[in-house]
Amino acid sequence: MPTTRRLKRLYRSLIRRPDVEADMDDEMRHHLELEAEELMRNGVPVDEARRQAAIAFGGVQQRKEEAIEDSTFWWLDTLRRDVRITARTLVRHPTFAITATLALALAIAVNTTMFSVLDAMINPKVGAAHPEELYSMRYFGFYGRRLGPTAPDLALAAGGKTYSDYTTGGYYFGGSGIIERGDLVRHADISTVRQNFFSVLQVSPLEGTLTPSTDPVQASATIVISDRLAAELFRAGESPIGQSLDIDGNSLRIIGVVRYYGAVSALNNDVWAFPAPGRYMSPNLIRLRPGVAVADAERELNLLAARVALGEHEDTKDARFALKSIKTQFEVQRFHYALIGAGIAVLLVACTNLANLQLARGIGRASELALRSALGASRKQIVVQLMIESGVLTVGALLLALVFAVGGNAMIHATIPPHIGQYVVEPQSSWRMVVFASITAALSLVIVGLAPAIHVSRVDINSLLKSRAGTGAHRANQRTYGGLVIAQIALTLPLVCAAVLLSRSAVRMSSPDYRMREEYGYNTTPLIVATVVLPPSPDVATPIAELSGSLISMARTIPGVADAAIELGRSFHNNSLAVDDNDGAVRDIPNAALSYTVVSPSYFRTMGLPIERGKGFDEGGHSEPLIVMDRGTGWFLWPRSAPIGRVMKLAESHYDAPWIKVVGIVGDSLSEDARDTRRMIDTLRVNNVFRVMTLTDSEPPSKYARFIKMYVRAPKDQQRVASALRRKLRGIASTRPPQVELLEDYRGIPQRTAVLQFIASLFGTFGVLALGLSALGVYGIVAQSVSDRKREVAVRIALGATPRNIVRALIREGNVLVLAGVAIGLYMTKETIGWLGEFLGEVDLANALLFGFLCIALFSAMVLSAFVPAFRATKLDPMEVLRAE
Amino acid sequence: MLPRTDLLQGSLDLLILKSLLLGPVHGWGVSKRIRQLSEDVLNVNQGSLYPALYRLEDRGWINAEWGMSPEGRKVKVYTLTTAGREQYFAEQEQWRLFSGAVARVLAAT
Repeated sequence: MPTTRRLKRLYRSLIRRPDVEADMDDEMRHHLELEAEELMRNGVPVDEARRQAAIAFGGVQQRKEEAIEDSTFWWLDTLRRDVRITARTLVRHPTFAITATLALALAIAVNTTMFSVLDAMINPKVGAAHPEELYSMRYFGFYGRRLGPTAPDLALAAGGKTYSDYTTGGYYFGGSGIIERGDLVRHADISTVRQNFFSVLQVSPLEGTLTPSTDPVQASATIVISDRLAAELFRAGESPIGQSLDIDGNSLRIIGVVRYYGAVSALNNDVWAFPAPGRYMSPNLIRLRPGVAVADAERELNLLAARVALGEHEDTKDARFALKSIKTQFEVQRFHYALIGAGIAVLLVACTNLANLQLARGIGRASELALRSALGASRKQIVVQLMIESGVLTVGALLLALVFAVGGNAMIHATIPPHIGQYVVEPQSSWRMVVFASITAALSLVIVGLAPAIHVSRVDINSLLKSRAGTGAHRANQRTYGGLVIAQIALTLPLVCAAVLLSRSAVRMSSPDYRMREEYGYNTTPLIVATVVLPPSPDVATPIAELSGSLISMARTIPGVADAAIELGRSFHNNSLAVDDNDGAVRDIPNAALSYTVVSPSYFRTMGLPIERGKGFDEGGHSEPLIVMDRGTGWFLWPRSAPIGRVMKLAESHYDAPWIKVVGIVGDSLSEDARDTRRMIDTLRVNNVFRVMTLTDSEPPSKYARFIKMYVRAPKDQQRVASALRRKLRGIASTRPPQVELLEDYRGIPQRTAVLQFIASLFGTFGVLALGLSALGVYGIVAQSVSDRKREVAVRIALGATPRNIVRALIREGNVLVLAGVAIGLYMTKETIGWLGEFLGEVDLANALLFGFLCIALFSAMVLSAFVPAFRATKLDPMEVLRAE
Repeated sequence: MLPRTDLLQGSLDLLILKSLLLGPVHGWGVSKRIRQLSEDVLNVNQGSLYPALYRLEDRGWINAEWGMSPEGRKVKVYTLTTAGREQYFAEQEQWRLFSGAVARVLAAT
């Protein structure tokens, strides 16, 4: 049948149903009249003719039904009737209908939103035309003395059959810098790209142009910025094009605005700069010709690589180009299992909850089902009827869930912090999301509808009827939905634990006190760090003491600066050191130390690092070196005596180096980096060793630029001080502008905190949802139990049971279930909490006290939700209940 | 009066299609035509005629439209569609094969 005809019939049988039936009626009655007239023409009397015609035809109604049952869309008609009955039933129980739909909708929405996030990570929107042709590229090979870094580039430039163009993106040249515009000073991701970057990616500008000037000098004075940064820096309606931004002290003109794509490493920047003239950047992004297989492209590129190596008389064995699609950068981490697991747990909690309610309702509707069964409804028909009820709820929930999911996506879009790309990206609303939501809804339907429907239909109607009367069948039902309550609580506990631990971590991490006590040993908030570049000096050593002195005095002249200090990194010779022992003997300690720090005398004051014992370094020039170390290192080096006054060598004992006296001890501190290193190499026991800078200290000759770090302490208005410092340092710095940042930004603390807060809020949402749903589940089961046992409760009250006795008897049943759920939940928490390990401290993962507290809290919440219906039961009037029975 | 025979399973569709091949007609007309053409031998169960008509309409082999009879009554008139015509010839061929085969079997000595 052609589609139009099919649709027409569908429309007629669904919408115009009364018209269709009226037509049939007319037609059949007309038939009967004609038949009777024919008989009459043959001499049959009127009444007899009508009788004979009616007998020959059979009942009009029956024929109509036969015709309808024979039609293509007959099942739709049945379905429509069932749905209408269901809708009527649900309207009669609005609380159930609304709660069930809402709970399921929330659960489906949570999963759908999480799916959209993961989908966006797996299928990132790239913003480039034909992203499937784009590959990141890396040259592997021997860069010999003669083989300059430009050789592979020259080979590529000759052109190829499999690729159309190539460029340099932000993969290896990414970095960060300070953006200034008026009062606003902001840390931003900056990527230096080749001039043809945007044309190879085929990205369109939102504003302006993405093609810089062909003159490299002019090009390097311009930048392209992201829409995200533009929105932050410029007012609505104000065009950024042609405006200038101060980046790391250089004034650069904006030529274009491009969309920020968090999921693509080449495009997740705020600023794209073009290289200074003469700066070479090796290619790392290639666009293949349409339809070219990556294997073919690699074959051609590898031939090019071999040719490069051969031309330079180098080994061709390892010379190759490795290609990687820019669309497949998503790596599944343990965190993602936690995310998916949390979503599924919420869905399961909601589903078991509804299954419970449906089961209870099915059992409650025993008399109705018994009647249907007695009237000849088959088991299949009863299951279908119950399933249709769940189906109507699920379809309602699905529609609502899609609205919620779009809202959830918008919410994540508004709150997602930058730098979280490896864990979570902005979700995308797509057709895949709708398909996923539908599949989730269908699965939910199976759990929510099918299982309870089969269970209810299998139960002997007699026993169902008996259970209404408060006899033994109650216990069997209790077991079934008791199991579901256990499952809910078991699924809820890990979510609640994760949410609480993450929130605790987030709160702790955002407090300066945490960094003082746990991480660095000092408060990072008032500190500014400046990286000063020393120009290369291949032949002579650069004296450092005088430079340090002038840098510090310069910084101290800035209003608002409390103090300033210089820090230089140094390595222990051969990772070893030597100490003089108690008895005067010398002891070598190999492989225990990586690096120590040379600091100006003002260091401890500037950092706010308190001296616990002994003293710090005196202000003024030091001709002899002195050492301050942390408590743990002191204890490790001299386990049996106090370290103060002892001497040590920052190398092996036979090495020609001075013996240095320890004058002070500071508190232990282990930064994240130090902890990581220590986890990897467990012999590294020497942590913080500070040597005072002496008048003779110098940087050894080097053909590369070197960096010294200056810390500046400003109790308030740090951004303004940083800005002033930057201006002052610009006069001193030689080759490159200095980088001046707040120490918190430098260490990525706001980003880390924002990421953790975001993750905590995600799991917080999951936890609250699961907790609410579980409480609802427990409430439901106890309420059902109360209504099942009305008669028993009434008899008890009549026999003199106090309200206290009644509540206790009813809650006791629930308690066993909740306890079992908590026990299983605790086990599940233990097995899964490690998935969030990267966001939690080691201590958190085994915090028995906290887990115990959470178990008690969950238990109490559940008992409280059981208490409400139990308490209501004590208000029953025995006379009324017994009379109603 | 000649003895009337019930229809063979599945042959009703073919008879309806044939009667409509002769021209558009209403439901009662179809049953009358079959009776007349079979010289009162084939007895269409009048009740089962309508489910069959709706089914054929469902499949797109016949079309139904409301019109007026010469007596001024509102009647539903069925016409054969092109697809119905093709279907008629296909079923007619099958019927020939079938009845020929049955006849040959019965004629065997």
